Amino acid sequence: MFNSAESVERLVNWLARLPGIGRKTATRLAFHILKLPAEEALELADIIRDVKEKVSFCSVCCNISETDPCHTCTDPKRRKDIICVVEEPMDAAALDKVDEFNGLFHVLGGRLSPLDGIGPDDLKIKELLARLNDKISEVIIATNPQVEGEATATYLARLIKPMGIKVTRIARGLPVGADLEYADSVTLTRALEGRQEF
Amino acid sequence: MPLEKAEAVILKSFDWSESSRTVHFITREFGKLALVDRGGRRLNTKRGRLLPFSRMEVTFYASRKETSGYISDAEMIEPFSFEKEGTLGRLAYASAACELLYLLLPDEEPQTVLYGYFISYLRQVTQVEKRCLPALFIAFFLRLLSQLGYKPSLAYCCGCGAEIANLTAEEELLQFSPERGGLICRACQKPGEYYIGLSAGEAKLLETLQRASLNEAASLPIGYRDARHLIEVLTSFLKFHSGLLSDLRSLAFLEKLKTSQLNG
Repeated sequence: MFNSAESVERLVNWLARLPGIGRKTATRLAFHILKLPAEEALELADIIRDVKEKVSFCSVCCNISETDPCHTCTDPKRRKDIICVVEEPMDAAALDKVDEFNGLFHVLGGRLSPLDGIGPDDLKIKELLARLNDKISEVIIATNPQVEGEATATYLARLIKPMGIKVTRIARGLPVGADLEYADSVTLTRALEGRQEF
Repeated sequence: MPLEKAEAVILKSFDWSESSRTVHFITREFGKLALVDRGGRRLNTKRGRLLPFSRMEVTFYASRKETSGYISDAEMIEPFSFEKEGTLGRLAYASAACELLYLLLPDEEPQTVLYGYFISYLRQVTQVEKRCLPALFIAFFLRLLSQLGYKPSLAYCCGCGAEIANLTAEEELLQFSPERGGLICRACQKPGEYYIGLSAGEAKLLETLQRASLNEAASLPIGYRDARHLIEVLTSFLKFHSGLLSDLRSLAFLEKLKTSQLNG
């Protein structure tokens, strides 16, 4: 494609491997990078290197972090008695934006999945159980409301409940801004089951 | 592109962008189909959401490119819920059936009978006692093999045709030949050929399940170890005849569940 600039070709090929990026978009991005001032392009390269070199996993919550334990686990303003269990670091980031939640997180690193062959020992469940002591008052299970996420939630609840800790599940139903007429029967059933009194 | 409608169940899906994916279905009308689900992963999608382990009515624009078309709308008909005792086992056996169908069914060849059988199987998986799930799955596995032309010979020797019932009186341990496609009598066995040993009871159980309806299989409790051995026999047979390269992931998942350190 770019016979005269092999490095541009290599960059396009690399960018096209990113999720959601096709070859056309990769070409546009490559030319954008090419037009950037040298210091900005090199800053991007440094950031990518830093991400790979500095980011690892917190040994407590298993979330991505540059420190161990991570800032969330050591934050004195957070409630230490509530743990919210999520599948991926991105789920923790989404929940962290919500003011209503000020507790700790635990990232499982996926969900139980027969089709992908992911069993209990492939997730950070052992690490979660090790965190549960008499100081923990509640575990909120916030796995995705899909079949496998629900099965993971049920499995975790079965493991945690005998410890005498309150286990809750995030509510399922209609998203804010949704139209009732487009909702499927399962979502509507969940929404009705989880209705609350004014 | 013509607009088509089909009753379908998801077998597998592959995400390929932030919001889109390719979904493989078994449909009543068209057999196995791969359809592109553009924007279906978005939370605010206006059309019905695709849910695994559910009977759905899918409307799609048929095409003859890399996939069979693009999904235009989806509506839930009947969800299958595995919330009864043994959720993970139910999920694993339902997934194993999906995996088998995904691996074995040819594309776009209508399988109306098999589709109906699969729906009945999913219904049974949600309802039966936990200890009857393995028998149910084996019955489904055997029926699927028969339906696709791979029926193993379990009542007669696959070499000489002698009735197995007569052999079980003389022999404690029978041999199953994945290569020759069934149980084999001593006289027909060849040195160096690979066989899997089956007790007379196991052979009888397998033969019973081959003839059993799903309702009958759903009332047969089988221990996990016995079931694992029978499934291993069928998987070896399938590997030889269909080119299946590896074990089913869903069954490996069951093994992981059984051997998990978290079980204490």
